[in-house]
Amino acid sequence: MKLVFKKSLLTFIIMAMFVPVLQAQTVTEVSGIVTDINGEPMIGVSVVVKEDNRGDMTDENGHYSIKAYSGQTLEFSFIGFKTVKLSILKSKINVVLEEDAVSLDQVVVTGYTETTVRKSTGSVGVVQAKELDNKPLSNIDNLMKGKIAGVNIQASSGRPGAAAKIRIRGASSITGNASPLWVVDGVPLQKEIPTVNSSQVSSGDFNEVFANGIGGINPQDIASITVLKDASASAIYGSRASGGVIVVTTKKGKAGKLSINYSGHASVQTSPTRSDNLMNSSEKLAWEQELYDEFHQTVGAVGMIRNGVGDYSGYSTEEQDAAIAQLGSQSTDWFDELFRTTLSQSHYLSLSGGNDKTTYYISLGYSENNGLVINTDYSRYNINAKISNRPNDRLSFGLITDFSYQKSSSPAASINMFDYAYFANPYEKLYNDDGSYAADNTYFSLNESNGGYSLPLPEDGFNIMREINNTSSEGKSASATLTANLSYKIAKHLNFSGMASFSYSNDNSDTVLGADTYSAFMDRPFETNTLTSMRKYGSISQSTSYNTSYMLRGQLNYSRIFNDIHRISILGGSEIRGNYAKSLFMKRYGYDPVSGNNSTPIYQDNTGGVVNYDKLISFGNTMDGLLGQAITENSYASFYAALDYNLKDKYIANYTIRTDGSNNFGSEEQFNPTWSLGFSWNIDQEPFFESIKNIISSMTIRTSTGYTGGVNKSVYPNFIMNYNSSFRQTEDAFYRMGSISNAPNPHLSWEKTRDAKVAVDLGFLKDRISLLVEAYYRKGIDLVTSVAVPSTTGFTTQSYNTSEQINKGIEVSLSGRIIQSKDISWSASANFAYNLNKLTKYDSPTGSVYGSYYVGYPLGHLFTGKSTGINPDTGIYNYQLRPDAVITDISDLRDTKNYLYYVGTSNAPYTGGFSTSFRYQRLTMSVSGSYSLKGYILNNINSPVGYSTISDAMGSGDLEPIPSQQNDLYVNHLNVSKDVTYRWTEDNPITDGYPRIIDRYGERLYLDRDTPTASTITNASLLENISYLKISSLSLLYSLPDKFVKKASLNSVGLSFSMNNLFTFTDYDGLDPETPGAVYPMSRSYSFGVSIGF
Amino acid sequence: MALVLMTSCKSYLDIKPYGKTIPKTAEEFSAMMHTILNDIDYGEDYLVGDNGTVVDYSCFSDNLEASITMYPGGNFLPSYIGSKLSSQQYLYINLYETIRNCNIVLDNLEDQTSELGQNVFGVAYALRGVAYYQLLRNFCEPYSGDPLQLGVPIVSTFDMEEKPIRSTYSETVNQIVSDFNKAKTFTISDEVYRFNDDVINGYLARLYFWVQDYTSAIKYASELLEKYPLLEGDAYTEMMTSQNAMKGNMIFKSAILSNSSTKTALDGNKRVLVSRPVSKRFIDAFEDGDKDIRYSLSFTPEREFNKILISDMRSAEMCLILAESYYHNSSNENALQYLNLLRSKRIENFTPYTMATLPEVNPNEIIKVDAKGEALTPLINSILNERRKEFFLESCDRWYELKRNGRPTFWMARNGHKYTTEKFMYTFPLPVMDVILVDGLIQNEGYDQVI
Repeated sequence: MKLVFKKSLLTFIIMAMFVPVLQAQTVTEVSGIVTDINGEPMIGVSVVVKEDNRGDMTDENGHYSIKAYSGQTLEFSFIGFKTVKLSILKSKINVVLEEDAVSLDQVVVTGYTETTVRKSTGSVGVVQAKELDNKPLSNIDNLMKGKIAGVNIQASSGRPGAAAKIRIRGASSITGNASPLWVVDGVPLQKEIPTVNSSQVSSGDFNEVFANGIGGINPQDIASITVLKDASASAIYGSRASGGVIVVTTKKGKAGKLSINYSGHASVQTSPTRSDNLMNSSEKLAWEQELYDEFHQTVGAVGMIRNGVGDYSGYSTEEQDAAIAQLGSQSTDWFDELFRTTLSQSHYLSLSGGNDKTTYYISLGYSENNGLVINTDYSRYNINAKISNRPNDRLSFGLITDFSYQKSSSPAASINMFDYAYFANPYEKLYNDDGSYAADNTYFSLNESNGGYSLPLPEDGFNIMREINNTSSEGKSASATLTANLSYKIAKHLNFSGMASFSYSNDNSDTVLGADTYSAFMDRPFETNTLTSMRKYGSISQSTSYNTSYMLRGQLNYSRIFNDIHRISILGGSEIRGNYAKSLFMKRYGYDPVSGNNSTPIYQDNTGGVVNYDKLISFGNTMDGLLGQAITENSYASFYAALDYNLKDKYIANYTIRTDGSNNFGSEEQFNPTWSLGFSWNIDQEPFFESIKNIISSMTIRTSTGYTGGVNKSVYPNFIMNYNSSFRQTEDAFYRMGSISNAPNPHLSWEKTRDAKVAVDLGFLKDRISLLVEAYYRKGIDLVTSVAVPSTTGFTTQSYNTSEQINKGIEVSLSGRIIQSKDISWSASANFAYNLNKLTKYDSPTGSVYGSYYVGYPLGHLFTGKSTGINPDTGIYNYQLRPDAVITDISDLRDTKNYLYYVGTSNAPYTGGFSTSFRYQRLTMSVSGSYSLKGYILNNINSPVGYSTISDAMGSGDLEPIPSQQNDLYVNHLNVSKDVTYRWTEDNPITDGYPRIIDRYGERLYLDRDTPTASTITNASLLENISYLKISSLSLLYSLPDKFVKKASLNSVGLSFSMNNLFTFTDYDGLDPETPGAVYPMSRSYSFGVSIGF
Repeated sequence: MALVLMTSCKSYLDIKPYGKTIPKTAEEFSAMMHTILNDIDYGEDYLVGDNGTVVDYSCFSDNLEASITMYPGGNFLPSYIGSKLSSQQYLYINLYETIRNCNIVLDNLEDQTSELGQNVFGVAYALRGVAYYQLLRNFCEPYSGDPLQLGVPIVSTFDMEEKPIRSTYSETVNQIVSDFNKAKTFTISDEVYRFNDDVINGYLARLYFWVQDYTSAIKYASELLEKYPLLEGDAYTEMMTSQNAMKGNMIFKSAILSNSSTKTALDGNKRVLVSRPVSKRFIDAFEDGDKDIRYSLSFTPEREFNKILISDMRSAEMCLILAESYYHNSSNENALQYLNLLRSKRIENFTPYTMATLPEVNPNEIIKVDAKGEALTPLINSILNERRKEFFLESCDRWYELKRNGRPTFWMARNGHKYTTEKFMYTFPLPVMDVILVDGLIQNEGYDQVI
């Protein structure tokens, strides 16, 4: 692969050497300077002699010179500026270019064509490169957050390199993949890492941080991102487009002298502060004492000491007090221990240049992100090279090579570090006085100290820092993409374009569990009883996957203007694409990290030297499970066509059709035709509009409808037999075993989304203010969900195209250039989106309301009770009865279904973002943010302990039900929030604090006689509103005045300072409402950057 | 390019499974059969039964005394059939899953001639037959002779769309007979496929016996008894104490292999089963006391069970089928002869019964009538009694004996509550979901209320 890359670079260099030199016959030499209205020289303005199509570009001083006959016409053009045409009457022509009033008419790159917003009928959103600047630590998915209405981006965790969840106009699939399709420079990304199915593979053995392919793209290489939101825009992508399409266009070389740009950033990420609400050591001990005095149970270290558990057996009261005082002598802030403030950096260098026939662009990128959590980091290296050549009027071709290498490492502990940091008792400590790892005596001890069986623990006990230091997971991913494209003008109006692309990526991961860790202790296949065998051995799991993907496309474009008013453009083409991926997995027990070798343990001999045949078989099976492979292959073939008709730039119609075949289906349902039809009316072009053009400068109405599709890969049309990873063995042979796990369905077909929208696009005051309002209705049909089938078929459920859902909503985008002058400019924009998701057709395979889906409600629905507050008599929460509840018996008062309400959805229906930018002379300040409203979760920070941790030892029978975690005495064994101390007790029956604490194994209180205690209802007390408004970035940019810059023989120098993830306004209790729960938190960072143009 | 695509599209877009296959050859289809057979080998199946099934069914029946169960160990044992009725729906689901696998093989495998093809075909028919036999025994009422008696839905080809209703009892029986007979035409020759003609004949004997076709039962049982003569003394003890290895005159046995997980499961099952003592009525059934070799092989003086937990088929069952079949065919002489034959192999200083010396019917026993619903005579009483002793904790035998002989009601007590095994509970409920989904599918009696 390296060789391929070198070759392409070589080709590139050779090509760059043969840049054709322009020769022209002359009469006059015309020269001059091109500036903008502020008098700033403009670089790279195209200057063309109209009559014979010869041209020049302005240099860094805005200067041009060209030889021409007098009387000929010179045309000055630059994207975003009005084109100026002048007759050559003198030899010195200086030109001032004005910004185009309709510069809002952004270029829309669909991957198949390029058009503009004004000429298209689809719903699109565009993010320009400059909006992505100065957030050096983010991947591009997170950078787009809040930028485009209706594109909801939610970080899944703050882990460096982690992919975000993106939903465009709501989730398009129920059980399949609803993520959008990423298209980079016309090439759809196709990457897949097949997971090995083997008995010894446990979660975490595969480092999947790079499974999502977009992380490898350097955000600084991006020129623009176009999001295709509706069928009219994305139907050309057919059956992968139902989740929307995100088209990334990378930077290209510009004709002109070699330009070199460097930018570098150094960032400080600060560690998250611990929730103030958690108890410190002395508070926790006092709390435990309070509970002990009331319940006399073994809860927390105080309970263990007072009840003489284990080592504390036989302590006198004085000794007990001393032991408690000893624990209280220090307090550990686990957040401080596990999180850190780090310094990260990124560098980017680009070279570009060329002439009007050949342009090139090379960039190098490096970024390093040292995560917040100790022992985690992420780094990325990018090389991108692009060349395009137009040897003559008919032919142009280009080559893009893109290489990226990513590396990520983190601990591989089997205990969730974030849970641990939250719940570990503050009186536990990391190190003993002699510097060795201290064992945590409480995290795993609840069951055992209450008479249950002991949890298996290594002899040295559990210590989180040992887990972090002695386990590791390292993932590496290298990927290279080669794309060649060609365009040939067959006839005056007919053009052929072709594209071929090949990508190769290789992912490796090594996960090492050190022999002395708890994680390794819990992963010992050769110990039949983990309680008695204390033998230690570690392991290494290694996996390697490679993915090759290709795409070939051929397309004919015909475009022609008839009678000067009918502009017709037709394109038609076909495409094949596919990928092949293979993973290999290997695990070795008894791994020695020093030598890299391993000594596989065997079963310990307890049969007096006789080899036990059963154990031998088990040993063989274990060994078989240590190796494995998995392969996937996908292929698609597609045909597509699009017709655009444009009458006087006033009336625009667009029709797109595409059909895709996928190897996922049987032949009957092979091809899935999708289409879209759109109309757009630029009303401002109408004569009657002239009168109000001073106020409303532009107005467009668009409407469209169409279909897109999706492949749900979780189901197959044929019955497919999976081979088991083990074999049926006899003494002299072995036989393959197989089973059929999914019910086949020969009628299985594509999931389809029917889509309709209306949009009004308005510009006010010469388009200084623009407003876009869109309303859409998307109906997902033939969505795959499980359906119950009679068990006589041999299956109980079958996945089938049976369900339907709708997503409907409104999007509003408003932007304005409020002040625009030489010294001061101020612009602001905001967007808002509302999406309502509702399942309209669904047959529950269980017939129960408690499943994941329910007709009439959105996908992330939450059904639970509505609390009416703490009952002063009982101390537990009471819940509101449903108005339709029929109460005939006291048991009806306990019945869950009489209390169940819909309380909201976890997918926030209202989302959006905002940004503003203020410039004073050379200093620019920008602020941007995003918000999300009316999202709810049932707070999922569940304590790892509780009454159910205690095994049967305390007796079964009629026990007091515990409504929720808040009421459970035993969760107080580990750390809890300070709020709990202000609670209901019989002596102090408050209702504005924490509810009653109940001992499940204590005296029966019969609080449940007339109150529901099922968690379905009582979880209501855990309901949290995760609405938020985030100031996600604030940046200051200063570009140095030219006189300093020129002195240093530089072109431009800019300095920047930015703060990211600055403030969050929310009612949410946890660390971050965007990533609720005990997960890797998002960090606050401060970056300093410099960019230099040479 | 479009042209090239069009012409080669068919194979380009074929499904490309890896580590998976759309099975076509006998070799590929054999993998599906090996999965089922491997489960039988390790005693992890529903078809023949594992030691966990033996524990459950023993707790449902009356050889152990549920009311004096010791706790907390007894917490892990079902109190009575009522506490497990709902989960018996899974037995139905799992048996139809086996039937589906067999159907897929029988529908799609073309190779019926090669030795491998013959074996795969044969075993698919045999396994399907056994699955329907288990459905018949568990989900249909005991044979009544009523021509309208309900059988189970018959599915003989794989079809996701089919929603069959229940066949008649005799149609189900015919299906089983036909499956077994077809299996025999393929003559399973390879040991590894396990279901040779003897095993199938054994199942035919069981089936005919269950549906009271005593003449046919006699035919198959006598053939087998001749081929697998009864054992006695040490050979018998060795056979009856070998947890895994197939010893002695075993015709078939599940769990002939073990691994660490099945061993752990077995140890766990044994550990909890000890919490339920052997019932006094069962001990009293040994009128010869410890002279009967089975006395000490069955329980300890502390009334703890002392038997291996296995599901099997051996010639003693054929001997007892013969005895009872002859009895119902009104040939008391032959019945007595086979009864004495078995007793002669089990009891020290054995004295044969004569019609005159047969023990009286114990009025305290819960079985009051025989399979035909008639009052017990001393002869049938002794045959049933002999069977009870011979197959204590073996193959769930006692439960089906109760079901076959009048479905007696009895109760156990726990925590001050009385749990009664009702007559309808001997016939398990069809999955509720099936009854909802299939128009006209009749649920078994007693299960019309869904909570």
